[in-house]
Amino acid sequence: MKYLLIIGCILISTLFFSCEDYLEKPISSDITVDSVFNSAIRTEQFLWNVYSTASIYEFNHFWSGSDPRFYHYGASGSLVSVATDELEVEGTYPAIPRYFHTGTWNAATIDPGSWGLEFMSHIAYQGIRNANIFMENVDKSPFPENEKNSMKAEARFLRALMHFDLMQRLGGISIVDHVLSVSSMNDVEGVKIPRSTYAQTVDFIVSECEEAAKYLPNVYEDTKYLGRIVKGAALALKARVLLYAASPLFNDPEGKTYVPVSDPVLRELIGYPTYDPNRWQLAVEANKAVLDWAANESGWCKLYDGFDNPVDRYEEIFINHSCPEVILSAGLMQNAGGYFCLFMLPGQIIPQGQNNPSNHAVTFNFTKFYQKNDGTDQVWDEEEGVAYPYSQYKRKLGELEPRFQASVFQSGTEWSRGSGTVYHFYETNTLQLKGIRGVGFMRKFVKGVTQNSPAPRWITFRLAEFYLNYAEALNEVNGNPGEIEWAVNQVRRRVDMPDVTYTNQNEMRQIIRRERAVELAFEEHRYFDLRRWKTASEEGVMKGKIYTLKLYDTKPEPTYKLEQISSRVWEDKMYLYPFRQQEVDLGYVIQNPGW
Amino acid sequence: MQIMNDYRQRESIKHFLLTVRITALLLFTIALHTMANTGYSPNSKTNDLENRSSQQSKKMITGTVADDKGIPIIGANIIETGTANGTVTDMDGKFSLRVNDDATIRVTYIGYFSQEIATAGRTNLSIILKEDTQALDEVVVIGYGTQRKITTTGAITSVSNEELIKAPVAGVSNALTGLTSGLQSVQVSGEFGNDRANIRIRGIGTLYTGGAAPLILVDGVERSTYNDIDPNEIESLNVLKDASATAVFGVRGANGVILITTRSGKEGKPRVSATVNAAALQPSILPEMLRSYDYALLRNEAERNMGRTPTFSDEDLRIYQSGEDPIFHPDKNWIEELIRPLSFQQSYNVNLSGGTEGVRYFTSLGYFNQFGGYNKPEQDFGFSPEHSYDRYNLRMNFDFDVTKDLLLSVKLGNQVAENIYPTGGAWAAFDKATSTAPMSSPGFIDGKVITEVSGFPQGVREFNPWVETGPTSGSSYGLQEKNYGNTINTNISLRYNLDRFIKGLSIRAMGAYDSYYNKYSRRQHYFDTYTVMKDPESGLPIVFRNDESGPYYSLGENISDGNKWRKMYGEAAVDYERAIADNHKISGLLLGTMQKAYYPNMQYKLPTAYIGLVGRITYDYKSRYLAEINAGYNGSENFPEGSRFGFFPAFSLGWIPTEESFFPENKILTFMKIRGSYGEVGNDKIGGNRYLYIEGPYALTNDGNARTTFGIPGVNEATYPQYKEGLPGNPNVTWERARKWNIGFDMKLLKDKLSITADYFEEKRDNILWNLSTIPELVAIRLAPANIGKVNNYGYELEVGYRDKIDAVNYWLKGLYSFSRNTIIFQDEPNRKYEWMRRTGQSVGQHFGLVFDGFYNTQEEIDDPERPISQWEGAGLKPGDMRYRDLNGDKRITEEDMQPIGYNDFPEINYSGSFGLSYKGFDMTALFQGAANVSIYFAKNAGAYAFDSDWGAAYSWQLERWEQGRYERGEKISYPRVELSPTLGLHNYQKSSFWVQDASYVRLKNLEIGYRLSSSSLKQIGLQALRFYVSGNNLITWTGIRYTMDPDARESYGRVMPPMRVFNAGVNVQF
Repeated sequence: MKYLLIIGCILISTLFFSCEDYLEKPISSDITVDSVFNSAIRTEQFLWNVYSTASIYEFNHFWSGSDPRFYHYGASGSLVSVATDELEVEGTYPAIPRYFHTGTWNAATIDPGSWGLEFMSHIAYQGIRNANIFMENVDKSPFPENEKNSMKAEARFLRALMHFDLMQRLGGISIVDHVLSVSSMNDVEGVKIPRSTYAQTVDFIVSECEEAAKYLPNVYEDTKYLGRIVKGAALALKARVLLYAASPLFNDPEGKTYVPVSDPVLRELIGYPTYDPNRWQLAVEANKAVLDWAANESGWCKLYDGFDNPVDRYEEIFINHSCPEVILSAGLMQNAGGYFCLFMLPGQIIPQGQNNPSNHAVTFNFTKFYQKNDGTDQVWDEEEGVAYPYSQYKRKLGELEPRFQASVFQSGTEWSRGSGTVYHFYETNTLQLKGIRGVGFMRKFVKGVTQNSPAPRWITFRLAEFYLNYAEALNEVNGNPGEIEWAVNQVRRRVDMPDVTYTNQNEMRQIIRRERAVELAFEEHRYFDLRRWKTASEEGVMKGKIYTLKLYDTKPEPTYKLEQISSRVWEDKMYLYPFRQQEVDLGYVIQNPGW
Repeated sequence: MQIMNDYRQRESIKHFLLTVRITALLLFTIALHTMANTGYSPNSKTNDLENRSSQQSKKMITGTVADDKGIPIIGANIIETGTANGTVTDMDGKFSLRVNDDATIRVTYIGYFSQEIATAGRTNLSIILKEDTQALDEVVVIGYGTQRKITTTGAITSVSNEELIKAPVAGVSNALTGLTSGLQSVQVSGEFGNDRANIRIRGIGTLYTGGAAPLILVDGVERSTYNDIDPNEIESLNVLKDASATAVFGVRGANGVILITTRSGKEGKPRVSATVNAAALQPSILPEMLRSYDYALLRNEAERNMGRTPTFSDEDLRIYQSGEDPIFHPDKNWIEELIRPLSFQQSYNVNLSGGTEGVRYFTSLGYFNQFGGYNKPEQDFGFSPEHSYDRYNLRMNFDFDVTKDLLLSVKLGNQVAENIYPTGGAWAAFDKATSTAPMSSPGFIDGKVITEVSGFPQGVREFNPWVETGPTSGSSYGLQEKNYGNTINTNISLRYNLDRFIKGLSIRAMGAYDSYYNKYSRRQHYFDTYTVMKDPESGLPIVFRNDESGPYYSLGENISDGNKWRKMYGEAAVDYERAIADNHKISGLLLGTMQKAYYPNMQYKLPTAYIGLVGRITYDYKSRYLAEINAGYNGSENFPEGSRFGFFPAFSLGWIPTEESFFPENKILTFMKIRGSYGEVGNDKIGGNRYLYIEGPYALTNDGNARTTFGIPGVNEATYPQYKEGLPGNPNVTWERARKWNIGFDMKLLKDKLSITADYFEEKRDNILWNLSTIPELVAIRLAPANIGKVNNYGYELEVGYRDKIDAVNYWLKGLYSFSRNTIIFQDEPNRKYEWMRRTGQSVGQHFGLVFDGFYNTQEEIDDPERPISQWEGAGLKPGDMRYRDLNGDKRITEEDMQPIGYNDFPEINYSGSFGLSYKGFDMTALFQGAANVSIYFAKNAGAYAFDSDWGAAYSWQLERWEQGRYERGEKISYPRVELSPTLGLHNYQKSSFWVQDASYVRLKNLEIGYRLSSSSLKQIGLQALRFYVSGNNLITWTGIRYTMDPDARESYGRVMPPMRVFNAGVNVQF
């Protein structure tokens, strides 16, 4: 037995000498969170990761199954504007006609599996997570204090931007201001952060913007950093948030909700339970602050005023991203790829060999918002189904104001001005224009864009919005009419349109809303404006009949007819999105009313 | 051509090297054999002559060996004690041997008591061997050792070499089916080289079903290529089921263990056994496809159902029916065209074994080949496009007695497999053959392959499956892929007997080295393709060559790191075994193991490691009371320091009442053992992730389109690479724990004719590594798995055997029945709105779906305002659509109406019944095998839909569709109204109890009839035995599946070649 013991002991000792080491992961050069933030370059590279996951890329662009961020924003195959009266699309890619137009979206379909819809809350939270990681670790980095503060402010802004993005669709949301971690079942309850009230969410975003604004620069001297957050962006976000918060959807003068809600807890999640006119005053001040920052502090920011021709001038804002009007824009990709062209360009312009273009077509409903050059309304006396001569179509559209000419590619015009190639949409043999040709196709954002040309940047904030925000808020508090006129007319004068004149609050409200539609057309404002104004449910807006002027290749002269191209379903519950069913199933989220 | 020549040259070099290797093996074996034979005197004349000159006092003895019933024993070993001199008995039980005058001979035969007989003064012996009914010496292989079967207390079943080699199939995994209880196997595919069955032991006890496979060891080392081993090389295969048997494998033993032991030589005359098999194979079942006329009619109906204009005119229909225009109105049965009705299989094995006291050897050389599968196109490719699987098996196992106490064993195994298949995997060819519409292409015209047709009826899709994929494949190229794999297994072990220091003590050590190499290559050959069009004037076909085609050869090879790995394993042990005062037998084992494997493609590209310690103590009092403690102490790299090692103990007890003095001597119950065990075992696997406790590395990426770009487009815009967070680790992670109980008994009754073994087991798994699934999206990162899951599993097994003889007819019967059922106790499931939606409480992999409740037959039923609206009905339902049960009564059919339907993919019940009989030289065995409580989900991938993707095939059973006339005539309806392009998103194709079907089946799995030639005639040509046999596999299948699919098919695998029906003939020669 003695030998047995000895041998056993030897065996055991040899085996267990360095047993733990035998199974230890060898020391390697794996990058950990510490080695990222111990290095200046890696810290910066992590900040770029925050940008890529927490910026708003509203352009629909290439989507891929492997990276859901590709279909984060911008509905698959089209802009979100397609859900409003602005645009109509066709083809197999766009998801909006399938879901939004038919009203068949719900808590189960806004899931990561179905890439059809325009927004995914879990992707926004991924950006928030990255911002939190950055903010919690940036102090370790070797940057000087002021640069750390500035970079932290960038992450703080982006985190606030994602919260806003969630809020404008969902109301009060779960605020995540630290990195959440779970390593056992016991941690699960701790990360089920319930929704904050709408008021708390607004307050959070506003205070975060104020905090970020303290440290952000007014400008980055090196233009290669175009697209990084400047102080004006923080002010702009705060201004937009306060405008939204003051609007009827959340701050109804009679305290009414968009669908009946009896639960007082839910009531506070979807808006302010009682009306407070002072919220408009806060919006006035915040938007004025943006204009003041631009005029006095920024040293560069102003409404773009280049070019003699107002059409060129307006068009240039969306093509030339170093133009001084843009406060913040996001880069998508260095070159316009195949899907970008397929989704954004008219079918006739897309490169050969691609099929199923989305063909963003401007509706007749929206065309009516454009005035003629002299500031009067166009006479639209067409009756449905009657054929009118093509020359009348050309004349009526041709008379519309510069922003229409810049934003809409019409039949009988050149895609590239001066090229001599004129496209006629009535030619039925024309490739890939299909049935929705008529008023014309969207050309804003994509003038001059072709396959592999530099892709445009998506504008998150540009100064014109804040003139209109300011005017709208000031009108709601019955502010100085001259000041209101001034703000609206700044925007109109830029495109050589005659001034408007204040008559009364109600008429001014309509003027401002119409001006906003025209100035900010297709920029994905209207989709949210119609909600906050609670006007989406009006006939022909986000509900009911959508028309076009349809062209026919008749002899001897082509003709056009007013025709309905779409009928859309709207239910009032859609003023706010549903939370994903799988989140509701976890029991920490109270679902929005009606879903 | 240069490339092709190079290729051929390389191929011939490779074959040359293989030949060299085989020759070397043979030469080595022969040399060794000659060496070993020095001093050995086999019963041959030449040796006699040699011996006569050196040793004078010799005599020749002859004799017969028989059992106590007088039946001759063939192959009994006769050895002159103290020498290496010996022989074996022949077919009549006779032997003759030249021995020393006063020699003592020992006669041994497995299953019988050995006898020693003094030959002094005798030359003719008549020896009766007594049967060792309790097989006291019979041993079973257990984890890290062997045990006497009689005193084993674990739940272990064994499969012998003879049983394994009966099945004329490629690999061990398929040969096992139906041979042992408590083991389930599902063979999804019959594709050559890719037909391995999925094996589970006692069902599934964990949540991650991919981690439920048993641990399979070959000669004590985990070897994932076990299925490539020639069954002829296998001595025994043991299935370890309960904790007492598997605890020694600790962290890897929870799913059961299979131990494969290769054959070793036995002392005695060299024996050569050569076997040749040739077999014809055919797919066990193939769907019957609709031909053009019926297809066109049905398609027109589908289009009318969808409110579209039918594609085919009456004139088209007439032409399809008459078959007068095979070019523009083809009528192809693509299954017949592409799939061979018969494929071929051949296998050869020659093995040599024997030994003297100094050395024992077993060497084996095997070749296995399958070819056919798909028809060849008529083109000359410059290479054979034949779908084939070739495997060469070499094995050399040697045991050397270095000294009296030191045993050196060397085991070398080599498996070389080469699989050639049409591109895309052979399944692609099968897929196209079973999914192409019959009028899609004329195929070949005068040997010219047609890729374009101009002149089909308007709208008909041109699609030539010969071209698009399959044997010619790769759109107008001849294309072939090849996979070559070479595995080398080596074991070297030493055992040193320390009896002379401490009685019963020995030490041993084993080292193993495995390497695997895989090479993938493809070659292609462009060939001329042709367009056929209708002459606008005459209407006659014109065939012309396409521009882009032309002869071109290319060869691609792809050698990737992932396909090359090596593994090193070592173990060292102390064994102790001793009887004290005769009544107390104790044994002990202490063993340490280490393993390191290098798979370059693994996560982190670091070698994986296992380390562990094994302990065993057994105690046996008078072979009546048995007790055993087994324990494994293992570590896994997946867990953090501190919780890296786990201790897995198991305890078992046995009682043999028939050994008790009070147990009455009787003829009914001759043996009974009652045994029970409890133990804990572990599992450390979830997917391929490693080091689950550490946070994954942060990674710099600059790919994808969601980029960070700053700067002015076209001027100084640039994309910036970004660091991304690594996946979090779970610092608390540890192994999955299985607690297992087993109780069983073994009985022998009626003079040992009847044997019964029964086991009942229960298993509770907890700490199952599983992904938390109630984490809100706010966390926004995929978390490391945590030890949260709980699954219970229970079941029972019964084995009944009966063996007897009537006159000269020996016969046996055997029945096996196994049942196992698991239940998910916890898996962190979110709240479900309704109880029936809950996955927890169901079995792992339980199918969920809508409850099919017949068809809507009339428009009134559709228009009924009470009819539930389906989430998937789109523009509304029509008569002929499916009616589903609205479980929650909300008048809507949604996901909320999906409940458990059927079972899961692995059968809960497996059973088999077999019998065998032998009469003189004639023998026969039959094996019936079945499964129950199992479901298959049929959908798109399994080919359950007609007109899939618009122009998919339709099958004859789909004619039983709902159609107004058929409904009115009261005909049988087993398919909804036909539509084009069915997809999962449509109402009728939701997962439901219509598409999930009972996959129970019974097969005549195996049948063998043989005849062994009598010896006297053979002896003259120097043969010991000669046996001819015919056998078959998967001969008949009875199943209730509505569709023409094999019950082992699975939706998730797509349309694959079903398992093969095999008709085999073979001959075995021994000399």
